[in-house]
Amino acid sequence: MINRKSALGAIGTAPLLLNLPASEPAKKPKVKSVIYLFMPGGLSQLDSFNIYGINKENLGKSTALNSSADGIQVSNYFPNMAKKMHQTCLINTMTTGQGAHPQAIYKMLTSYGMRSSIKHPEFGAWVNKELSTPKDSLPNFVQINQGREATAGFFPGKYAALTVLDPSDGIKYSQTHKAVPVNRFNKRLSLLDSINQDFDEKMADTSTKAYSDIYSNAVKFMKSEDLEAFKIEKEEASIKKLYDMKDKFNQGCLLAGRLVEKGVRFVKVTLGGWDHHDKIYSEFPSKAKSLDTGMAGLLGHLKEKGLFEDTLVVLATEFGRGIKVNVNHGRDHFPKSFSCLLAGGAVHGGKVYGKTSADGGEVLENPVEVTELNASIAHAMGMNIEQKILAPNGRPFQVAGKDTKLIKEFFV
Amino acid sequence: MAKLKNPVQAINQAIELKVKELGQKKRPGITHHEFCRRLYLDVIGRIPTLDEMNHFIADKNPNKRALLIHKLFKTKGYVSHFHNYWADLLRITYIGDKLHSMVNYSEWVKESLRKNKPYDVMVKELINAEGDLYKPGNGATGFYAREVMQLDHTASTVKSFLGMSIECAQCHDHPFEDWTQKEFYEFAAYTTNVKLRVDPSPEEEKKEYKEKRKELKDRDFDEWIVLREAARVKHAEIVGNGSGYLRLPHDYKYKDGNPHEVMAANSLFGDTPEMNYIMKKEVLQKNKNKKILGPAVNSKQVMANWMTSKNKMFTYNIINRLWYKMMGVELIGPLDNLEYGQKGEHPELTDILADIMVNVKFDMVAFMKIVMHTKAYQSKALSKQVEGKNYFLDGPIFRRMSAEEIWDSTLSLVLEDPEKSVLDHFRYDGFTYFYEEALKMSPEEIIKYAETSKLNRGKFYNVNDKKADKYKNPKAVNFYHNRASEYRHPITKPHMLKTFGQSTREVINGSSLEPSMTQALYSMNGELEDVILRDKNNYINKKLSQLDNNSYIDQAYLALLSRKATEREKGRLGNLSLSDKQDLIWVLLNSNEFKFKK
Repeated sequence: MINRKSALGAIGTAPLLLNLPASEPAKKPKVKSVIYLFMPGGLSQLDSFNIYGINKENLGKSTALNSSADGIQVSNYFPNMAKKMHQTCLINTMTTGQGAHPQAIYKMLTSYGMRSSIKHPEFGAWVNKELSTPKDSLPNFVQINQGREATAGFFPGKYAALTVLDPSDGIKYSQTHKAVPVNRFNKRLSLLDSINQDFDEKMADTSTKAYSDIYSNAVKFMKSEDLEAFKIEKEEASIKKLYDMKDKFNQGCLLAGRLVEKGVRFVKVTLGGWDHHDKIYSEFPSKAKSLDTGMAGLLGHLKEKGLFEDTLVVLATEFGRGIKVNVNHGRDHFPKSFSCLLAGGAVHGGKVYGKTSADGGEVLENPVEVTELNASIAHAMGMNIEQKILAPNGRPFQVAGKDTKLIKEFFV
Repeated sequence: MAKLKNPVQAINQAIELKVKELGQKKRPGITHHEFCRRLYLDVIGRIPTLDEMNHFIADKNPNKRALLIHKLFKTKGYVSHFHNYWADLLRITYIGDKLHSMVNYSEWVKESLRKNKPYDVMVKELINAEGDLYKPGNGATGFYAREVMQLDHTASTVKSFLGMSIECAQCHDHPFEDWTQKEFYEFAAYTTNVKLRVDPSPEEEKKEYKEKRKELKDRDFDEWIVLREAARVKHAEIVGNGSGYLRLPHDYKYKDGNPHEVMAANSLFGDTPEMNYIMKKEVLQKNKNKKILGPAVNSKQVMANWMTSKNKMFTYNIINRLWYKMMGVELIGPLDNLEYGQKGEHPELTDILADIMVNVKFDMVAFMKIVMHTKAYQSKALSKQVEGKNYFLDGPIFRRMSAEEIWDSTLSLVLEDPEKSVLDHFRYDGFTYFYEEALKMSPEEIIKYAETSKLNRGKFYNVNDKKADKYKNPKAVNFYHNRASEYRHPITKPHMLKTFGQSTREVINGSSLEPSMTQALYSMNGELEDVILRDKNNYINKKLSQLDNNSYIDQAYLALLSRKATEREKGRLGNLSLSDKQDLIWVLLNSNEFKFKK
C-alpha cells in the first residue's frame, strides 16, 4: 500500500484562474447578449426544422413549408418562423451522447457530464461571472419560466440566475406587501438598521455584512428604474403586437427582449413539455404554436428596437426525437441527430450547417457536439474557451468543456 | 452522569492547555438564554418556542442544562433535524425516470435515528443493503438506487464515510494527491455487479408478463405504462452482493496496468482484507466477454467491514463532521476533502475525540452529549474574523442558520407544537403502500389492475399516494406546517426552504448559506407578513396579544431572539401601537441576529 503523503499546500476556497497562454488573442466580440430559448423534453426535429430533403414518410403528420431561405423548409406547424429562416443559421446535425433527460439537459446547459461529486455552473453563470462589469445594475443571468435552482454550480451564489417564474408577474416580492405603505416600510427599515448595527458591534463579521448589503441592494432594487424592465405591460404597443400576449412563452420572449435592451447579457427562456412519447400530434401543435409565435415575435422585436445586430438568439433542446412515429403515435428520444437554431446579426443567415441522411437518422456531414455549439456561442460573446478556472476542490473547468473546438462557420 | 466526567474533562483540559499555550483569551461562558437557543437549534433544529424558553429560564434546577441536553435528544425534533443532515449527505431526493420514491430511504434514516442506531451499524446497513426497494423498512437500498453508476457510487461512498475526495482518480491518476486510477478501480471492485433492477427478474418477466406487455403496448399506452410501473413497484430491487473484480477501462493509459485488465478488489489503505474468491483472477481474465466480472462473493460485505472496523479515517470523518455540525469549525480538515492520516491543527484533541467515539461504540448521541457538556461548547460564539486569533477549536463559530433551521424556526412562532407534522413511526407513500398491496397480488391480478383501473402513469402515483395517506398515515397537516424533514424532496412549489439555500441534493452537502436578493425581497415583502405578523390565531400572536407594552417587547424578543430587550432597545421603541407591534416582529424576523447562530 502506498504510504499516503500529504498533498501540496492548501487549496483555496475561491475559484482560481489558471493563466495559460491563449492560442488566439481575444477578438472583438460579435455578440453582446444572448437570448437562449430552451426546449427541455426533446424538440422533434422532423416536425420542426429538419424538413428539407427528408423522406415524407418520416415526417409523420408534418408537411413541408417553404421558408424565406433557399434550401430550408420548416414544418407546417411553424408558419411564422418560415418567414424568418433567412435570419437564422439552422444546425441539423447536433449530436449528443446522452439519451436521458436529466443528463442531456445538464450537458446542454453546463457542457459537462452529470457527476455526483460536483455541480457545474450553467453557461449563463459563466457569462455572469466573466462578462459583468461594476456599472451593470441588472444581473447578467436571468431565467424566465423555469425555476431550476442553484444554476451557479461551484461558482459563488451571486452568479446564479435571477429567476422570473411568471413573466406577467415581474420579480416576485419586488414591491412592499400590499398592506404595508411605503412610509411604514421605511420606518421598519430604519429600526432594522439600528438593531443590525447593535448586533454588529458585538459580532463584526463579513457574513452579517453580506446580509446587510444584500438588504440594501434589495431596497435599492425595489426603488430602481431597472424594475420597470421586468414589467412587460409597459412595452410599446407596436412591439406587443408582434407577440401572442396571452401565451406565457411569448411573454417570456418579450421580457427577454426588454432585458437585453437594458443590457442584460444572458437571458434563458424555457418552454417545456416536448417529451411526446405518445400521441405527439395531439399535443405538439399547441406547443409548436407557442414556440413559433414567440420566437418569430422576438426576432421582429429585436429588429424593431435595433438590437438584432448585437444579439444572438439560440433555440436549443437536449436531444431530438425518433425518425419514425412509434406504436403509441409518439416519437421516442433521439440523441444521434437533432436540430438547433442560431439567429441574429452575427449569424450566417439563411444557412444550413450539417446534413443528415434522407430519413433523418444519420449525420452525413458536419456533426456538432453540444460542447462545440456552446464553445461557438461563448467565443462569439468574447469569452476565452481555453481559460481554465479552478473549482474550490482544485479541479479545472472551462466555459464549454474540456478542450472543445469552435465552429466558425455559424458566424459571419 | 459520572461516566461522562472523564471524557468531558479530557476535552476541557486539552483545549484549555492549547489556549494557554497560544496566549489566547479564554472565552466566557454563555447565559442560560443563549444556551437554550443554541441547544434547541443544534439538537432539534429550531429555536425554542416562547413557552419552552420561559420554562427553561424559570427552572431552578442547577442541573437544568444537562437535563435539557438529555431531553432534547429523545424528541421527534431530533429525528426531524438530523434526518436533514443525513439526507444532504446521502443526497436523498426524487430522481425520476426509473427511480421514483426516496421516501422509503428517508424513512430508513428516521427509523435509524429513532432507534439511535450506532453510526457504524448504519453505514454497514447501507453498504450491505439488498432486496426490494419499496419494502417498508428496507429503505437502505436507496443507497445503491441513488447512484447506479458504480464508479460515481464508489467516489460518493469514500467521500461520505471516509471524508476523502478521490473522484479525480476515476479518470486519471490524481494530479496532486496520491490516488491512482488503478487504486480507484481496485476499490470500486468491491461493488461490482451490485445493481438496481427495476423490472421483474428475467425468469418472472418471461413467464408472467412478457406476452401481456406486448399486447398492451400495441393496444393502449396508458395500460401498458401502468403495468410497467405497477410491476416495478413490486419488483424493483438491489441485486448482487459484489464479485470483487473490475476491469480497467478500455482507454487505460498508465504503465501499471493494461486496458481491460482484471483488478482484484483492494482497500484504499491499511491491510488488504481477505476475500474468498470462487473464480481465480487469471481465469476471469481469459474470458472474452468483458462484461462478465465473476460470481458473487459478497465483496460488498468485506468492504463494509473494512470501512467500519478500526479504520481511522472512518472515525476521523465522523468526528470531523459532528464537531463541525456542533461548532461550525473544522476539527481536522474540510468536511469532504480530508487527507489520509490528517489530524488537524490540534492532534491531541482529535485523538481524544476519536477515542471517545470508539469507546461509545459509535453512538453519535452519546458522543454529541459529551461534547455539549464541555466548556468549549458552552462558551460564547465568536466570529472567525476576530483579530489576533488563530485557534478556533475552543468554541462555536458564528454562522447562519441552515435553510431548514430557518424554516423550522418559523414554525416555532406559528405553532404551539412545531413537531406536529413529525411522526414517531413509519410514514407510507404511494410506493411503499402499493408494494404491500402488490405482494398480495398475483401477476394476473397486477395485469388485470393495469387493464381495468383506467389510470395513467401520473394517476397511478397519485391514487396510491392518496390511499397511503387515507389508510396508513395520520391526518396530514397544512402544507406550510410541515417541518423541513416531512416534505418530499424536491419541493415543487416556491418555498422558503429553496429560497434560503436548501440543498438540491444533486451533490453531497450541497446546501448554501449565501445571501441572495430573492431572500431579502421575500423576507421583507413576502408571505411571512400574513403568516407570522397578521394571523391573529397563530401561536405567537395569541401569546402576545394581551400583554402590556413592556411585557410585549420582552416576550417578542424572547420569542424571536431568545433574549429580553435591552434598556436601550426599549427606549428606542417607546410605546407601541398595534401596527408598531407588528413592525417589531417584522424587524426582529428580518434581523441578522435572528438568522445567525451564536
